[in-house]
Amino acid sequence: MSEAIQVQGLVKTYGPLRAVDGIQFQVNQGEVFSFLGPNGAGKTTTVEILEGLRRATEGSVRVLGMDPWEEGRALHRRIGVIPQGFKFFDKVTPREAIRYYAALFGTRADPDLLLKRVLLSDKAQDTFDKLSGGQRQKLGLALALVSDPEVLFLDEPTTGLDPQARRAIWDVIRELRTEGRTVFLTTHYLDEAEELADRVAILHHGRIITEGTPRDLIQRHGSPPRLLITGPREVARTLKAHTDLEVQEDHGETHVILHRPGDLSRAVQTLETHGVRWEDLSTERDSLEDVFIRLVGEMDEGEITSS
Amino acid sequence: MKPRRIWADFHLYSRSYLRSPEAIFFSLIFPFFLILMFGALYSGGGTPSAVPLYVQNLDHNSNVSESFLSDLNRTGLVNVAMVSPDVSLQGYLTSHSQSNGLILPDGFGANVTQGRPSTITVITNPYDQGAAGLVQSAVGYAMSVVNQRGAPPLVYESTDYVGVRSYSTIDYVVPGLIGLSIITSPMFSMVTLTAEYKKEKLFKQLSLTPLTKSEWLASKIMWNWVVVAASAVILIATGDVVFHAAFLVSPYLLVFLLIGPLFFVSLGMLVGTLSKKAETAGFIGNLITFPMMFLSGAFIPVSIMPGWLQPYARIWPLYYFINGITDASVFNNPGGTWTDILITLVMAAVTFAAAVVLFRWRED
Repeated sequence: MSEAIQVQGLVKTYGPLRAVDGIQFQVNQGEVFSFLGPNGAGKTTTVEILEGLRRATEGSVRVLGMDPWEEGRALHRRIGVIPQGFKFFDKVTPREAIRYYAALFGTRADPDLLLKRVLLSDKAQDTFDKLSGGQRQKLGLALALVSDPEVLFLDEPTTGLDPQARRAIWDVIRELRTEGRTVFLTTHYLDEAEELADRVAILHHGRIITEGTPRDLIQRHGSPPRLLITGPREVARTLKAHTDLEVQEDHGETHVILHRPGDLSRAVQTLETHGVRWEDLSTERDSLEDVFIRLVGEMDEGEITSS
Repeated sequence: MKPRRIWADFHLYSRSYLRSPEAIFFSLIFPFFLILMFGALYSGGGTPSAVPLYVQNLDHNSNVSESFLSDLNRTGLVNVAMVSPDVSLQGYLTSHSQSNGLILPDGFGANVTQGRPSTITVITNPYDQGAAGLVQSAVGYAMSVVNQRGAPPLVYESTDYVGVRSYSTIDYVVPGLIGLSIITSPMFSMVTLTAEYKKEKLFKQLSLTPLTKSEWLASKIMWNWVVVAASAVILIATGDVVFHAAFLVSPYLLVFLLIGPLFFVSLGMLVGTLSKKAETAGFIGNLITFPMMFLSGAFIPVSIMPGWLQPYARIWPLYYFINGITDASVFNNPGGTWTDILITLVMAAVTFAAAVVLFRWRED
């Protein structure tokens, strides 16, 4: 699989501040790659360097084989961008905006088709200042698609949107992946990354602290899965007495940590064998959000401890 | 530069502009109110404090004529300026966009000394009664001093009128207000627009499209040509219909209407782009625009400003636009217009180049 984006030793400084501190990663073509990180981690700076809007202080950046700063004009014909908090001209309607972009790019994009695709057809004639936050982001997405781009950079595309608008944008992103486009998604919604991304990188204080598929990261950095049993205190007593399973009690619930593949069936079998009844039974595992909070928390604690 | 992209940006911007009630008010309705207001103020004729009087003294080396001229000056009603005896005074006044003159004939001093009557020629503009009245009063005083010498009057006055056109203060108001339109719409809209686009990161957004900054600037200049031309039409038509202001629509006027937006759009963009904050841009824009409006002759013709203030009018770029339009459309004096065209063209070219070079779509 060829690489759409290659970043090596990227540094961006603003005076004494190292906003991006020597990161490297690559994004394969046709992949949804998500950049996660708390506010001020360096996400937007990195994205803007990839888009050719900012010059890197050090390091090498290639997008579709081009240097974004030096070859920005050629690159911009092949990428689509929704900047953070997308804004447009107040007195322009979505249909006019798409026609405008199509004229600038010299493409034959059909405004009605694009608006239908992002579920904005009913607002085609409203001016931008009358659109809600979600509708504005949808327009941003439509404009990013006017040039039929190979790579899309979506910088926090669903921030501040209601759940319905978020889901609509997620659907479009899934379609983009199906069409084989590369998507570089910056977000601080962990569920969004977990839902959409093939791979994620977590950025903190300008450095990538971990990278991989969401599943990999959860397995590498998360706690083992847990069996949650709601029932009498006898559940926990029985499991402790008759197995070597790790059992914890928490507000009337018994938690069994599933370290090994056979732990779940052993726990259930033991309870069956001893005739212990339970009310409810479910399994739970760490989400990407749990991993994120743990990793970022550990980093901050480490810094506090070392300082 | 691709015309397709300039046209696309022009088309979008014009639609956006026409949907903004504030923009329409300031570019098209405000000039209408201004011409009504200033027209009402000046249509009765202004009363300047001292008017320039161009004197051709054909009476060489005569103490009497020198004394006559010093008496004229002493009145404080006129500022005497000497014109070479070798030129036609009527022609000189027309080519210098002036209307008040005086000819002292050859032998004026000898005639007065020997008690023979002599006739001097006074040239005024009958439609500018304020200035004409001041000239007549000053000349009348100087004549009375001479006439005290003899029982029959020694000096008679012959009155002539300048050029073939008539001028009154309202005629000077129309070019001034066209100048005001040339500065207000391009300058205010561009300062605001540039600062707002920077704040909202719209320039970054545009930098991700094939549109270049020169194309963007060109489309804004084109739109301001439309706005300034429309507002000039409103001013000229209202001036003509309501106040009968004399105004010649000449090709030279068109030249200024083209150079004006080129200069002020570029200047507005420079101010907006060099200011870090939107508020600072607005402040700097006002700091440049307001003194320029008041001191360049937009509201008050420079010719009737206090003498000490008049040289300061020339430091403001807008002065050359108003002066050029006045020369071309009020005095029909193309010779005087060319200097202003040259000055404004150089200023516009330099400012446009500076705006393109200093303006950044992207950040380092």
